[in-house]
Amino acid sequence: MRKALIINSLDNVANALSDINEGTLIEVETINGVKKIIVKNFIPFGHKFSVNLIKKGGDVIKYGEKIGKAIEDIQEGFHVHIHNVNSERGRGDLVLQ
Amino acid sequence: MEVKLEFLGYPRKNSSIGIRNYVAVIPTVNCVNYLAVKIAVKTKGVIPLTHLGNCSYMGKDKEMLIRFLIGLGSNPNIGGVLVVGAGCEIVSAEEIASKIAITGKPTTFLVLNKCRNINNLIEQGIRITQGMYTEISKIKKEKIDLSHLSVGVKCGGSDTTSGLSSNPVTGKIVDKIVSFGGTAIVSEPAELIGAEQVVSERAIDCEVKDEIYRIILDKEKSMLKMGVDIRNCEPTPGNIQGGLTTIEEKSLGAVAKSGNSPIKGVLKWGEEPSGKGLFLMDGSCHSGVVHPGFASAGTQISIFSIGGGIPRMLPMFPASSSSFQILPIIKLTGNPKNLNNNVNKDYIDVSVSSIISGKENIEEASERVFKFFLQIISGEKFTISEIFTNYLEPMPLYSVGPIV
Repeated sequence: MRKALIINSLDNVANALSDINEGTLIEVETINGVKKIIVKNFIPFGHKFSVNLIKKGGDVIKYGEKIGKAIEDIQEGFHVHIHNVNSERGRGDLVLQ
Repeated sequence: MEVKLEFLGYPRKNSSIGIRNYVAVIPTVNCVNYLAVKIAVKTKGVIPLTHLGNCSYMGKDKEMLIRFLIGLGSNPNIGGVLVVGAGCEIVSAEEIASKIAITGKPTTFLVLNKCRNINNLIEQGIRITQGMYTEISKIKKEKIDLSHLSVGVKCGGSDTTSGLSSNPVTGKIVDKIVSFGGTAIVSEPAELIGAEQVVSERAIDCEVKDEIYRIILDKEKSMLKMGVDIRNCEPTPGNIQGGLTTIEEKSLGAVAKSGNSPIKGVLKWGEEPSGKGLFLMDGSCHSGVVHPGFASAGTQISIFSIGGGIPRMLPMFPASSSSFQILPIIKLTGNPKNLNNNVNKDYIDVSVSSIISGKENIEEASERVFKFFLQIISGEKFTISEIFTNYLEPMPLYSVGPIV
């Protein structure tokens, strides 16, 4: 069974298809062929990890589309979720500021 | 194996086709929901379509309430209608009944302030609906082709598996029904924020494309205008636990449930499409509001693609989906955790978690689900939402305000 999946070749995140322990070596299909990534955090089933460095302010890409901006540099193999990604849409709170 | 492309349905006088055959008791206002329940409970095949519509509605909301009541009564799954009114509300029971009667089905109305007392109204209602059910139970089912089918699709409790498995499978069913000449409706415009560039590409013309953008961006504009942060609501805490990080990610997964068919038009909430094909309906993302909107638009069935982002123990979950007796709701999941024990088998109609485990691809799973779907629409099998009907909640309506 596949442990992780990249949906679109443009994506910079992979989706865990099972719980993945910290330190696990994962092979994922990328646009440049199979890439080996050491997962740096525990990644729960259904959560994401980066497949390359995503710079602070850079787009997080899934389905080949932008799903948000990185709040900080996200190194390869790290958990990508609400702690380091922000939505840019429906942000009335930002309008008020 | 060859899939049969016909189903058994109940022909109606206006050439629509029911996949179920009920008499509906429809209150004009929530104040008389009690009467609808008291009448319907006495007879098999008679269902109360209770709702939260009330006299605080004005303008577009009032139009919506009227459209909704007429739409429910006109739904092909309903063979006869009793409208029950109070006599003091903003819509007239007589007017609603007369509009439903255009479909040719037996329709009548009772108004509380024209009756001697409550018991008198309930007794009359029971007598009328028993007569109607006796009459419609004589309707013989016929073999019908899929062009007469209209299906609503919705996702809920979304997680990463939704976008990878249950939504794409739902999309394949939509594409099949549309390719056979049928109709499909998708809604939840706010859960297309971040996916408008994808979904609008499928509009049949520029006008429809503009309309798609309009209903999605109107949702976002209202958040900006009110100064509210979508992150407190979308994605939900359950979605986030399931791995979804932003509304953009949720939307890009949600759009898969509408398949790849061209989008013919944009509908108001509860509005019946003017033709066949795939339509996008304005409204809420709340399943409590979405399924009734579909029913009012004439769908005979819903497919509800469910992720692991919700508790997996209640048959009527989410949003009391067993309360919408007018429609069978097929609950489909791709999350293997939804099926880990026997309790969860009572909650899910069909699983495509085989996609996540790599045992089936989307195409194979879609064929299997489609066979199950045909059995449900022919009445060979029933959905969990139709079986667990001992707990009913009135249906909420969409609202654009102002509310008083």
